[in-house]
Amino acid sequence: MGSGHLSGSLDLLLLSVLTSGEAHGYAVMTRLKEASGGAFDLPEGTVYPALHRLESDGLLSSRWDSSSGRRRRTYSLTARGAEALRVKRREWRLFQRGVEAVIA
Amino acid sequence: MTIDDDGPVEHYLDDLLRRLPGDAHAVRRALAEAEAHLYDAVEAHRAAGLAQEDAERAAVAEFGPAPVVAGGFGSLRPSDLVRPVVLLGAIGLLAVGLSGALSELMGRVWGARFVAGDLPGASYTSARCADFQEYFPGHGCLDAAALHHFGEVVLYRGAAGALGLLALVAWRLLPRRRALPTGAPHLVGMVAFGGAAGLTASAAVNAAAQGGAGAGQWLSAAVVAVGLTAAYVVALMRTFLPTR
Repeated sequence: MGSGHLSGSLDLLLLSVLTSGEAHGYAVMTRLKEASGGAFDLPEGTVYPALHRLESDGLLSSRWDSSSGRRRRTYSLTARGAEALRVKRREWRLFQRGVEAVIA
Repeated sequence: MTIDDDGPVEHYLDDLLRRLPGDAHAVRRALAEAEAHLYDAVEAHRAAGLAQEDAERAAVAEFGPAPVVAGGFGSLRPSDLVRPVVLLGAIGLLAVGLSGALSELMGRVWGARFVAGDLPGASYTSARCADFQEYFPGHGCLDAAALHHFGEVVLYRGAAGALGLLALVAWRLLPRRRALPTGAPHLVGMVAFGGAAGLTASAAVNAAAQGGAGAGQWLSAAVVAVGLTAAYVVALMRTFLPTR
């Protein structure tokens, strides 16, 4: 999928991926690729500015984790993030229905 | 896992470090996350059978070009500017308050006319003179006017200083957002207070050239502005000069 389509939905995708639990950036990208069946093709490093922005907006929280030997920053969904995800999912479904109605 | 100091991942991280915007904390964090991600990817590629260098090249390619990744961190939003602007405003208001205190001191040493006297040629109506002299009996009109204006200078600047303290509290309470580019806040402060120093110093010189009355209010502001400009210059230099 082209990066132009993806960039507008990246927040929704990242918040969705983190509903299954705390994860560091590499794991977030791995989950995203696996869940989408490889449909999303974006530079992996570009996920970090999005994660930082979601954290500064209060939708994610993060901490350093050295339990596996390498120091990694892990992210988790906040209560505000869960609520924002709910809203974004609803908006996405409305958008999707609208597009399908037009292109059908 | 061995790390090749001269390998593709280390070269990529050096390139990324040069390009990442923001303060030291933000840069360190972004770089640490990139490094962990890249070496996780290298391990995955090695487990899939690639040689070390090929695994590193693949990891770097998948991570994305350093200019693209670093550019993503540089996108400031309006909300990112609120806290720095509030701080600049707080410092400005506190500076005005400090100049008010300096004006008070100058008035006690050199008199109210030095601080807030009128320029030669200024005059007031009889009614206005009566207003001034009501609060300052026993003084001529211009002296009473100077005392009145002197009081206003000190009072209003003091109020600005109090407002600055409130703004400082607000700044402390505001949430931290994305960091501004390294040195940017110091550069803005330097330009803002440098400009203020220039303007107020010019006004002080102008007043001094016309007899000195009223020079003090501008001189007190110029002194504080020059001090702040110098502080910002020092802070800016420390940002870019290597630490010993």
